[in-house]
Amino acid sequence: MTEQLNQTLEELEDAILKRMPTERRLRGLPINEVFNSYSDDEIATAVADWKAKKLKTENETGSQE
Amino acid sequence: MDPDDTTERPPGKLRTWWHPLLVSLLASRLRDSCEVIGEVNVGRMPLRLDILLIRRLSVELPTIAILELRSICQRLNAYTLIEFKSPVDTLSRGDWNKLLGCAHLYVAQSESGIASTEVTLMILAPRWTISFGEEVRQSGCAVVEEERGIHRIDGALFRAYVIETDRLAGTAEPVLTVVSHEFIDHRRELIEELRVNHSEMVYYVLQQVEQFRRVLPDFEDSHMTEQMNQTLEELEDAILKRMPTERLLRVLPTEERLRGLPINEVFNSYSDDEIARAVADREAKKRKTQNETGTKE
Repeated sequence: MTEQLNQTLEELEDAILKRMPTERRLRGLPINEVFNSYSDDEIATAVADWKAKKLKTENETGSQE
Repeated sequence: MDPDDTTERPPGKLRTWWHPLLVSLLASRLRDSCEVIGEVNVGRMPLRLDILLIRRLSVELPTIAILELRSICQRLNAYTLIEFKSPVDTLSRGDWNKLLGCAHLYVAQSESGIASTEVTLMILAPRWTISFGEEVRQSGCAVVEEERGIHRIDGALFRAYVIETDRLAGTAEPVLTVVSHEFIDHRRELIEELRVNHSEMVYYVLQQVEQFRRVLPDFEDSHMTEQMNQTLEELEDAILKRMPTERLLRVLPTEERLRGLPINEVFNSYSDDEIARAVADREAKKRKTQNETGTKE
């Protein structure tokens, strides 16, 4: 393939990727890097929710045992 | 624009994106072996040939053309005049005589003269139809099915074939598959089959569609059926599945990947361990910054 065709294909891929579902967008992205794109408040709320959810799951698992 | 004012419009029937797509595919597969000309006006009449292939006899047909355009390559002549019926069109009464008329007009306008033996007429259509068959027989010609889905019409001044794209759809005829009705109806199976050995062509089709979208702003509204949009989405999926993660990372910056995505939803894509580690790192970093600021104060 010529360089020109490769370039065109890359442009095409860009266009495709921009329409990609969100789950696939995150593939290979470290979570530390994700944090840089959100505000402290957003992260604090999300972490609190996550901890609560985790605690609930642990309690449920504990009760079953 | 005044609907009665036709002076701005090119003569002939409404062109859809199927035609430039097939022209591009033929040009890309045949490379220098043929001059591929779309939209050929024939004289002053509002008639034109869909595609004209002028064989450059000094150049061999490339392997890719033989592999991906088998039926057409086997039947190329010095001048191959193609009438193309897209997946949303049907072969019908009138098509045969119209093509014959165009062929005669094309030969008539040639300055150097063209022998009738140098001309082959080729109709690419989803299916052979009864009304078309009747018209052919009424013109005194006979029809022989040379191969499955390929009909030779004997008795006309020019050699002529009808190639049924729907019946030829499959890995043996990738280009005809993409422009067949079968491709719309059985896209999943056909994409799976095509992407094994013809991924470059699949890319090429997507590239062409993207270009149509860019050049013609109303392209999708006017020319894309819902089924075709679905087909393209599946083609895109097929390509995305093959694309390495590094490539994804390179193309999309982090901000773009996260645009419009709530952080709670982001968390669902990571394990508890990953989140816990990241939260701990973040808190440690924050404490350190606070301590440093406190010391300075």
